[in-house]
Amino acid sequence: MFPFLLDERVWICTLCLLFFIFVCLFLSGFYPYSAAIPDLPGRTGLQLIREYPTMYQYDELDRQVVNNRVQQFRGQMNRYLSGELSEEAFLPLRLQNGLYIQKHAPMLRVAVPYGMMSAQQLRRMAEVCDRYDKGYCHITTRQNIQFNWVKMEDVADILDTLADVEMHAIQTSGNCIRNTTSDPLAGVAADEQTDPRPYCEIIRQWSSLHPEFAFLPRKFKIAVIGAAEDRASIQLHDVGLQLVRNAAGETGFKVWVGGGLGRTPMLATLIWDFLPQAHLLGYLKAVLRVYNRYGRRDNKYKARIKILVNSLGAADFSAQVETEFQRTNTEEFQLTGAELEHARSFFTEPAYEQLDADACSDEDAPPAYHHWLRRNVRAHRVAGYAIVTLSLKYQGTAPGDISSEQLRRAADLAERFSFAEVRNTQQQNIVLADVKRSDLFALWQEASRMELAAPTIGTLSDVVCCPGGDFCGLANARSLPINTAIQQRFDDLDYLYDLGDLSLRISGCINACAHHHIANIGILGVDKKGEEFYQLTLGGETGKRSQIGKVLGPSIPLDAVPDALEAIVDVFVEQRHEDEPFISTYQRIGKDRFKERVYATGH
Amino acid sequence: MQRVIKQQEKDGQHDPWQLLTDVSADFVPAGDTDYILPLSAWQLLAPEFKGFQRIPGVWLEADIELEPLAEVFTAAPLVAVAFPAFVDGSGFSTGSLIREMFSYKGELRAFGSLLSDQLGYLRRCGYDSVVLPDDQDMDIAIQQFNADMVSYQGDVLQPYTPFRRRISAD
Repeated sequence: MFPFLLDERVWICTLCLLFFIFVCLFLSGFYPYSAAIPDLPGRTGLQLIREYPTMYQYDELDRQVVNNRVQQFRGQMNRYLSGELSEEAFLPLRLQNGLYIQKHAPMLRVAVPYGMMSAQQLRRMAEVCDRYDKGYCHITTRQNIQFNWVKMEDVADILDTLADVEMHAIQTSGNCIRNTTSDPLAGVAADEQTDPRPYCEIIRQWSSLHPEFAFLPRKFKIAVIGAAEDRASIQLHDVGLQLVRNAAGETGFKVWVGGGLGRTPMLATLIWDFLPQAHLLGYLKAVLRVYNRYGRRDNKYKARIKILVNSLGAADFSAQVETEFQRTNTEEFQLTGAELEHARSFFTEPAYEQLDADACSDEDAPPAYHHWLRRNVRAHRVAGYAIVTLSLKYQGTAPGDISSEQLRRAADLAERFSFAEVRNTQQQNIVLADVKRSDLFALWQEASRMELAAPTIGTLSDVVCCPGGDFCGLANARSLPINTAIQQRFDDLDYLYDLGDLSLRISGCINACAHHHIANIGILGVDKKGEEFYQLTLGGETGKRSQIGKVLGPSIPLDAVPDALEAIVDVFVEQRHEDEPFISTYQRIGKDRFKERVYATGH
Repeated sequence: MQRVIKQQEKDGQHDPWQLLTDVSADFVPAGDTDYILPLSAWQLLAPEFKGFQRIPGVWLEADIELEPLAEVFTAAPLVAVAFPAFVDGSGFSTGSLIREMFSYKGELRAFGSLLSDQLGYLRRCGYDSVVLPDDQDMDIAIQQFNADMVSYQGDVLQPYTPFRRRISAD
């Protein structure tokens, strides 16, 4: 009927024309974010057009590295399932890829580098929840995501599906360098001096599949901040880095080494007050080398770097690192200005609008909204914008758990209100970092509908909690029933608000995944002759300063925990000066009065 | 028969080295054998190595202090590092240091408790031969040892920072 359609020249011309039109549209700024991205010397504008203005995006090398690892892991898994690879040999290989064998099923921990995720990645998490898990997943205290019900034979396929959206599970467990964590308010906090994310990304890449540090004495955790307040608890990490400027205006790091929780909680020691940024990787290599060669391997509980720092003494340890650093810190390990600039180019400022700082259209809104504003919304460094925390502490659910439906809706909210990205927090919530103040009411309504607006951030009921004995093979006791009991006991919002900022964290065992040592009130599950008991600690804190909590007294049985908590809160209310927070009262009066009250009832 | 994997060579090749776990006082070397001696014996017999057809190789524990051994690395044609357990990765740093700090140019060999899945990392830490334990898969080991994998760090002989090569390629 149309003989000219059979002529291939016609087809080629048509395709060329379509391509030309497409390129013209692209170059003319059709793409929404292209205008906001500044040109860098030596790079063309086209290369800088990115789907997400404030996130790292893979290039060909990232893709190859991740895909190669997935293929390698698929082979290892097949050899394990067919019996060629022994349980013992497979153990470190699967742990290096985030796969634990838990009570009911294998658990896969997916890396969320410094907590940042795009809307697209959230949706992919939702797909994994529905297709391979039970419709939900769990946000961890190190900003990662856990799937608790995967099947061994599905893991390689899940990894493929993650790689499609630039995610992986590399080094999320095992005795290697773990996911680098950071400030969930990076780039938007008013007290920030330097954005830590470009450095986190450099560390992520450098530490991923590093040939020298995959079989360390024990796990190794790095956290980086660039603000005055420590929202990543850097002093509780094996290495904590804080970006600072020296008198000459140069950028560098304060370096802390040897922090950690677990059986022997310790704050890290400052070993260098100004590491020039160019030497970041050379110095990390030196620290890890000293640890890899001299860290203890005879006892799992004495194998973290904190024990080595403590046994050598900080001065001796840092001298050894310094020697190692000086003799092998050659030019190849130093970061050039161009590299740093390239890393920074991924974390550009999104296209903020010029807004009226006071713009709010919510004066007639219900009181619940104003509660939410007070607890879940924080000041942003840009006028007219706010930082919003979506709470994953809804009554009746496990802290940090999020359903596939909620993931999808959170992705929608991120796209509609916050430049299509979110951040997972150490407190197991999700932050939308760039919300217009004028959108807050609409956002609140949407978030409330999907049970992501519990107005309790920073209060006693914003509980941080590990999966505990209900899921975890390591746990000595369950943590979720404690959380439920506390939620039920302290369900009066007005009372919670009166109590003010009060952190509570529950770990099901001494591995301290919920970081109970740094909570104002910490609860630790212990095993007493096969019974679940709980040890209480008071006075821990993180943020403006770091402090490890003190054990209150002998551990108590599960059903005594809510009463004990109420006793602690009662003492606080009686002794409190005006509106002071719990931690100030505790520091003023000490632990004895709390102890008397808790144990007066005969535990 | 021990299985030695070398870079860029196929299996079945002849390996001339014989590793001695210890050396008695009355040891007499055979005229046609290349030995790898324990460090203490090597140091005792250095520098003449009387009766040996060539300077012997030396083997070390992975966690040994390296600073006093500069002369060993200058003279020994082969340095073998003992891996006490496959979960003990101190030998990865030891190998890297021998290459980096002493610019050691001879053969660097890993032996002891190792997994075939570790050979890619071993090569990138500067090892150019590995004695593969009997229970480990030879094909996987050879494939891992010779795979030309892209990486963020390069290897100990040609290290780089993650972005260095990618931005200069623009």
